[in-house]
Amino acid sequence: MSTDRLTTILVADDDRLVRITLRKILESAGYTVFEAKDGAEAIEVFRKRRPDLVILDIVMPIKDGVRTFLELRGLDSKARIIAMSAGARSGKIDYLSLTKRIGANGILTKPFNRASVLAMVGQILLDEKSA
Amino acid sequence: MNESLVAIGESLGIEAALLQAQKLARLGYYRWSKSRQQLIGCNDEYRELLGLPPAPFTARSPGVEPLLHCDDRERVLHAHRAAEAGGLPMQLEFRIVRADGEVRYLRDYSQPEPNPGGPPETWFGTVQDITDLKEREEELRQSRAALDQAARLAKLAHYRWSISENRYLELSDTFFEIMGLPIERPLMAGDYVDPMVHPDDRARLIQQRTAAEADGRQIDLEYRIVRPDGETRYLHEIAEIKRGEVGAEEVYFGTVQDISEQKRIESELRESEERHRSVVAAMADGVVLQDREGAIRAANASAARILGLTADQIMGRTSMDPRWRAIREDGEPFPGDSHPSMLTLQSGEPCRDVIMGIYRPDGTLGWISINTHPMFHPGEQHCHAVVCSFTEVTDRRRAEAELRQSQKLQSIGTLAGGIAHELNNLLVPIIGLTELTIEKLPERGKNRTNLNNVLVAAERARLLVQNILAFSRRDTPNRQSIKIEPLIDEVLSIVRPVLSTTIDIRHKIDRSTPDIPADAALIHQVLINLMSNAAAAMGLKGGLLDIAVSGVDLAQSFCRSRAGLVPGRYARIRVSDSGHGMDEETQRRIFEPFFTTKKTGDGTGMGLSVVHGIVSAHNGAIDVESEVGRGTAFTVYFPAFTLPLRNDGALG
Repeated sequence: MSTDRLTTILVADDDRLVRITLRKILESAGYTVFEAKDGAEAIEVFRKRRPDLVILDIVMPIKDGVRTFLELRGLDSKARIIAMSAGARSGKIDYLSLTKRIGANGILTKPFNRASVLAMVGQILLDEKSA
Repeated sequence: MNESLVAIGESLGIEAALLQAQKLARLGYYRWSKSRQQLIGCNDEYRELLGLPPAPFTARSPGVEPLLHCDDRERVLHAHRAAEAGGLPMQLEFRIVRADGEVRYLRDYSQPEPNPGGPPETWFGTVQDITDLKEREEELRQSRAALDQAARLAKLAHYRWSISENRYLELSDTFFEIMGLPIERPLMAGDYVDPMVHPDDRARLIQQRTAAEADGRQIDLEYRIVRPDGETRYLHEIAEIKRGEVGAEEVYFGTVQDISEQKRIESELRESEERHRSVVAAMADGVVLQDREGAIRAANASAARILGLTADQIMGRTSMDPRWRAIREDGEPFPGDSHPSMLTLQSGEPCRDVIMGIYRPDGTLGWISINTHPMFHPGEQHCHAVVCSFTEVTDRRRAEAELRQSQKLQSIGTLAGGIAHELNNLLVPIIGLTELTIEKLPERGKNRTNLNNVLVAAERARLLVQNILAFSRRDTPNRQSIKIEPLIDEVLSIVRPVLSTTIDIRHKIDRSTPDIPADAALIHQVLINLMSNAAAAMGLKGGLLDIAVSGVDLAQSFCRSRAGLVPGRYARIRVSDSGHGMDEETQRRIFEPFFTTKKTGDGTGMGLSVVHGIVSAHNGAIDVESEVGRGTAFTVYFPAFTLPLRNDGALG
């Protein structure tokens, strides 16, 4: 990842208020934020913008988070993704732990405060830089 | 001949008297000539007896011969010829058919008159009408034959036995039939019946005879004989001693009846009754028989067990008895006159699967499912009794209730999980945007304080939602084999400092307690919840908080009444308090999320629902016992063995 341009982050969540909140938090720390309101849109934005990090809600309509996650990794095996959940589960599947098992870089549990989000994002980006 | 007799009669007074007597006795006489084969004289009575006109005796007469009854003719003529040929006297009884058609019995005695010149030539005879006698004899014979027939049919024999002579004086034919002896067997000296008496019955027979001979008591005894043909027969003998019947002789007069058939039927009946009785006795269902008034006339052991009464207490009780305390499924009283048995007695119709709650004398409430069956006498319209059978369904109802409760909690869990998910999403902007806004506000200021309070409220909301999720999330325990004792110590060290000093804490951990495969953090949460609830129930007044932990083997019978529990080894944790206790309604609802008895702000109402969720996720069970004013005890069972994780499909 190049350091000579602004660090970009894609926030994918079907809840507009969650997107707005994350955008404000991330922008307050100097990141550039793209938004997607579902999985399909997230794939599209990812293709176009190649963001440095994706914060992906794993319970979303149209294309659920887990499938989106796998497709993103299909597009870029090194894509950095934080899986985000509000206590997500459907039936027997715990999506959050599943996402973790298949290799999410971080797990963000809703609700969160500003400090924890920025700490996690900063850590993942730093790991990447040092890697 | 007539004339000559009259002449004799006139000459001798005694002759006249004789004649008179002959007339009165209707005694006919005649004289018969062998060579002429005809009567040579007779009196009027003779003619009258034969139904001949009372004409003077002139014509030659063949006597009775032409009148003889065809059945008797041969015999009589043969006798005549024999007597004539041998010059012998003759005694005959025979029938004649008189001219008027009447059949009469005659007795004819005759004897030859001496004939100095050779063999007898004439016979002098007398004839008497014995028709009445014969008829009476015939009646007697018939009646005796009827009696014999009756005795034979009834297998009833009679005998007379002489004690002094030690022999039978009389034995009826049936006696031989019963004993299986040939009828032609002579009356033997000595008793040949006694040796046939079954050895086991002999002593009783002798005992009765001794008593009879000592004080004249009647013998009335049933005993067995083994006949010469090897067959065993049951006899009923009734006998008594007739004293002085023949001089000073003592004679038994007795009857003996063969009651083998009766005995066989009786024993078959008894066996069939015993079979039925043993079936009813062995049944797990309670069975009682109630009479027309509803009084219990018979009950099996299961009935007593289910109703919590002794057999004696049950007998005679009616459905109307005020000691029954019965309720319907909805808890309303179940009056005696509407009990299924009473309805069946009134209507003659059976009742099916009627559920009744019954308070036993020890105060426990048992639930039974009742079936009734009316009983009718043949041809009667109204039923005279009712068979009432019932099964205990307490366990089944409890398991059903638990299942319903668990399904309810599960659906609440799913719903709560969905709500929690939404709330968490909503909390994101509330917390995030508030934080961003606060930063832009001056350090000191009312707005900042207000927004800080928004954050405090949001944090509380976050914790609440976390609890809701914990309740709805049932398949996440990270199970490892854990020891309960250190866990209890740890929880006590956390709880003790914050509890009122008026609360006395005791705990006992039995060495039988097994390790359990469980998520230590979740068990921790269960214990904290239970203890803090117990403490809250006692409040500032204080009391005793008791924790008892042990190992138990749960049997199938215990698990049956608890949804999802399987038999095996369990760790049992019992947390009890001496607090205010709970009523039944509260006990029923305590595991529902958001149900709380605490005043607003003191509790979220999530604690026990979380406990329930965790216990269920560990394949365990939780029981609550409580009495208002006395206290509450929660008992938690955790299996010491591993089962597949329980998934309830909650959405979070």
